[in-house]
Amino acid sequence: MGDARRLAARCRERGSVLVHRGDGSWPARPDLSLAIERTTWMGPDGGYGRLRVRQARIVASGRGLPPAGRRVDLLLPGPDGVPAGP
Amino acid sequence: MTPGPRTLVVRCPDWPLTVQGVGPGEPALVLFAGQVAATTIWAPRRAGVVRGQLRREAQSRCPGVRVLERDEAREARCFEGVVSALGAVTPWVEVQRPGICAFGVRGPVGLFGGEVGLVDRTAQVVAVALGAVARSADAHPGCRIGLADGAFTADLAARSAAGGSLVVPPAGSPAFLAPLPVSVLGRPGLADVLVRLGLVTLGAFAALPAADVLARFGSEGRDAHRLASGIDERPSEVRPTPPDLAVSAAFDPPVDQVDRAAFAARALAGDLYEQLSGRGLACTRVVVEAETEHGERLARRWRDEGVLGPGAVADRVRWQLEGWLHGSPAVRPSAGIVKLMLVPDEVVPATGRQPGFWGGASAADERAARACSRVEGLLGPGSVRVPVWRGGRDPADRLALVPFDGQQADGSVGAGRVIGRAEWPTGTDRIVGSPDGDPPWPGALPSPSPAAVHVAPVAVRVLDATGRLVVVDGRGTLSGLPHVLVPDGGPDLRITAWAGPWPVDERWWDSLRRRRRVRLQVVADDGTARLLVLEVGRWAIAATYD
Repeated sequence: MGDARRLAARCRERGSVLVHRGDGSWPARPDLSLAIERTTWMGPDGGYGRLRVRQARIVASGRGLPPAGRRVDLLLPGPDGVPAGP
Repeated sequence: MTPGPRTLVVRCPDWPLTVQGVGPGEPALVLFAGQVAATTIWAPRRAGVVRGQLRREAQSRCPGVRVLERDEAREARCFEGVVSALGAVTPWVEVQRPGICAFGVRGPVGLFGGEVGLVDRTAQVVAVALGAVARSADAHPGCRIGLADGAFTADLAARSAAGGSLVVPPAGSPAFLAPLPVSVLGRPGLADVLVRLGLVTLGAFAALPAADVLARFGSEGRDAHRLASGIDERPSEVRPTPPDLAVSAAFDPPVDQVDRAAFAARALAGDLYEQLSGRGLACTRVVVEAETEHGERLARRWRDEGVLGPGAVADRVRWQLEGWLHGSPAVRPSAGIVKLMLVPDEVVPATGRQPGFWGGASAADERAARACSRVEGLLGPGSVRVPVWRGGRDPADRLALVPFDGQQADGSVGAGRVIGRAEWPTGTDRIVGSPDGDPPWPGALPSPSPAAVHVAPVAVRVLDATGRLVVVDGRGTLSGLPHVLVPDGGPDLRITAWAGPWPVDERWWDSLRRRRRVRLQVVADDGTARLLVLEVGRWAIAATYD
């Protein structure tokens, strides 16, 4: 707990962001958590094509956000390989 | 348009081998980072073993060759003996790298009765010093000495000096250089273009008008053109060094271990580089000075054809400290070092490097590189590895971890890619993305790349609508349409969409390492896409697009 806080404080001081990936717990409360609530891959069709586009609903929760979190739909990746709006 | 100052270059050929006690008669080669760095002259080179080859290839061309690992510290240590012996000829020796050094002859030429006398004297001094390194006269290939206008021509003269020495007369550089191939310029990209333009010799290149070369090839071409014409490399650009650019570090208690001093030197080199770049300068020659507890002053000049970056300076200081502190008793100081100083001796205007706004070299890259250097300084060379992209058919093959190299500090390490861990965290999945500007790799997985590649593929069964296992025949067709995915110990997943099968037949010519696989991309009803691989009749989840 103490280490996690110190690490977070140091990151803030250096203008960096500490990202914790995965489901494991992090001892300190994060400023922001991002999760994928629903995801759908598109592209393959009965043997033809390949994975191209993924629709994802991202839910963000944490400081300054409503308790239920904020939801946004994104294409991760979009048709040209980079994240895009819906 | 004056020719460069008369310069003498001493080259000790096959230096990495000489210091390891291998004579020219013995077939041996030295490896560095898995590639051939040097070979002895007879058997390996005749068999076609050249620098840069892989160990396996070199051994297949020349079986029975003795393979040694490179020992840079020892090279530096032994060469310091040779350079300090040259102090009997001139105090102004500058070292390019262990094995090659140079000095201007204007001063010493009067002492030894002309250039031929000077060359003879130098050869004697070096031969004695080499004898001390190799311990017998036939255990080293001797040295090559070249004397000419400018360091570049003198170096080439030394390389082509078959009988031990070659003196190119004053103003004879253009004639000497004319028949040499353009590859000796040390600029492979430029040489390639010149050869395709039909300019295969330096003479043909030098015959072009300088203005046209500048217009077509820019400043790099102009520099190369000057060299090819026998004109000194950069007489017009060398600036007098402002006196306050030297950086120094004091040690209390005195240091007699290379590691501690080299650690401080790394930081010093960084300071020096920052000071210089703050003034728009770059350093081509640096003096490494040390002061010992007993008041002895040691100094040695190091120079490089190109510009010395912070990593290059730090390496040279390390080599120099090796030479002083671990060298022969004749050169070793009598007490520990109390002060280390780096003096930029020759600076040129930095050609400039524009940090990118998005991507490319940026301040963040520099910070990341600096952090890596620091961690490496704490944990030792080779402890920090960074991932680099390389070709491969499997997502897991497309990243390799290579030891972090300070030379990458010019921004070739992307900020997001630097990982300060010696190993991938075992047991977890590797994270891969897609590189930019990758050359095509036939059979590679199409983008987007999977988010997670499983180190241990998860066994799975793929069933068709009638519940039979889906298999692939020799022609690459599926026995049925994939309908259900049954992971080991997990709930069944209905397949909503699939693409494939894509056969991958690797190394079919090699009976031991050949692999035949079939890939299938499937999207299950939980929304997640997976990459399935069928190999020897078994399906497995190789990667997940989550």
